[in-house]
Amino acid sequence: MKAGKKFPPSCAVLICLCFLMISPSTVTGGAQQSETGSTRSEFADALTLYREGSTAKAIEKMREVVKNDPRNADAYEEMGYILLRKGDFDDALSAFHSALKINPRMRTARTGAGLALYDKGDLDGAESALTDALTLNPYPSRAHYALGLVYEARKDYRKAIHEYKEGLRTYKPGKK
Amino acid sequence: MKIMVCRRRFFPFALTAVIIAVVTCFAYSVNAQALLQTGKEAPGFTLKDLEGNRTTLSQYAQKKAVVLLFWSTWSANSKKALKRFEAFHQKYPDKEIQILGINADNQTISTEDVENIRKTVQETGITFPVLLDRGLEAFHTYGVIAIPSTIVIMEGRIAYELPGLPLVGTEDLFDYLRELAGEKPRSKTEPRYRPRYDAIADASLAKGFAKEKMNAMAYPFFKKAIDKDPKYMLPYVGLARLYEADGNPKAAEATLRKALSIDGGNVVVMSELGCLLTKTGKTQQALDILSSAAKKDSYTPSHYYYAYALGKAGKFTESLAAFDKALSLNPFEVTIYRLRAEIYEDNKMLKEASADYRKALELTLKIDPAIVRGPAPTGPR
Repeated sequence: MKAGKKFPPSCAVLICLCFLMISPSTVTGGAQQSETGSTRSEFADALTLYREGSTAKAIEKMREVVKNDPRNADAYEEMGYILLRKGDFDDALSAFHSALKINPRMRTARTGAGLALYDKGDLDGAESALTDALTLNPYPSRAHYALGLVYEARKDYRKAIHEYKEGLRTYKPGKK
Repeated sequence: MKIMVCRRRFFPFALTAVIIAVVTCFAYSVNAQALLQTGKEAPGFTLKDLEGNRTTLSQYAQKKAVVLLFWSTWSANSKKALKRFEAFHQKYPDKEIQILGINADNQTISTEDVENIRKTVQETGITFPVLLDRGLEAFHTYGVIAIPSTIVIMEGRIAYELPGLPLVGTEDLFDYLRELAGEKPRSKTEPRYRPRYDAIADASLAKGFAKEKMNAMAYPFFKKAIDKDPKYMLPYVGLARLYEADGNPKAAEATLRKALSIDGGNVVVMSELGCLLTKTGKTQQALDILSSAAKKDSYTPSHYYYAYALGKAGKFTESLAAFDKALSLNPFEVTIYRLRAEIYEDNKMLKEASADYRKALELTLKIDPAIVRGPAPTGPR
């Protein structure tokens, strides 16, 4: 049998396409979802409000989403990031913890928790959360970034540079 | 068995669909190789204006041409560009040439930013639509390398691009637009070069493969594109980058020199070659090429590669000044921060190096600065 028949080049194209088509949401750690059509739409509305700069309304909308769908880890995680933006670090941390209770392997929530701890000034806690996030994460750019912030805050520039360089090296477009 | 037969019958169709999808996906993918985009499909966009109304590129599909002017309130030349385009807009209101001012002030646009933009629009008396590029998506999709930058779209394709507001280049652009408006040319001009469409398609496909690090599949398509249209510079640059990534700088250099033997003054190829020579330790040769490329026009990479070469040659102060020039043209360019960080690191300035690597990563990951305020200096908040 010819080698080409075992693995035709067209299969390579097919495999590559499958690889390309994996959306970030399918690789975010398999968040448990119990969304209905209406909560999905509310979730999308909340994100739109956030992108358009209406932070308070976005939080309000996201609270409605988790009220109607308390197992929605994605909603808790997004709410955490919106609260971070608003400067409510304690509430943000609590939202990330809620997401992690539903899905302990949700690495973006772990990175978010690390960022919230960093923003609160708890550098040791942040370092620990982010080191954990790195072990879970096949696309760890954001965790490297956050860990770099921690080392920079400690004035350990050599370590910070290492983390930022790793973040740049491991960056994959479209992956959280 | 039935399943097998079905699979066999279905497979060719599925494969065709897959290949079409791959080709389409890559052909429309983001083009970072600015200045070599002429002839390429113009990516669509939907942006809001200052009043919150949505505008899409496709709604101007019937116009003879659409001019995208990327501008910002922080760039000194943007006001000049806005005024210049407003004068054109006033003079040729019925010539089917639509100007769109796309504001690229920041990754995230605050209410304060919107007020600044509104103020600038009022001061400059702009009457053509001004759109807000939140998240800088159009900016990145069009591979903008300097602010201001102009892109002319005709029949859905990029027909002309001009980064910055260089003296000669700007006059050429307005000559081109006046001709489109039906005016006679001021002097006899050569017809503008347009790469062959099949060469563009091959190069786009190759770039897509290269972006996904499928280098073995990218090489033949770049080479095909060169064979089809040897004057088209983009595939030379792409091919050279592949060679360099695969640890063959000699082949990369030979490819870029071949390109320069065809188009000796091409600022993109000069900049790429200069950067490569710097990385391979041929700093003096790099400085010679890059200093003349940087003098040519406002092609931002020529400035930051020149800055990098200066840094590697030990001319630290001049290097920083050249990096500043590049940043004044495009503060959103990741490579500037990466290269400057390396120069700082070489000079043992770790704090500055760290800050630049951070900035490079923030831009790469599109980090919203509001989520990383950092710990308070006196302890936890």
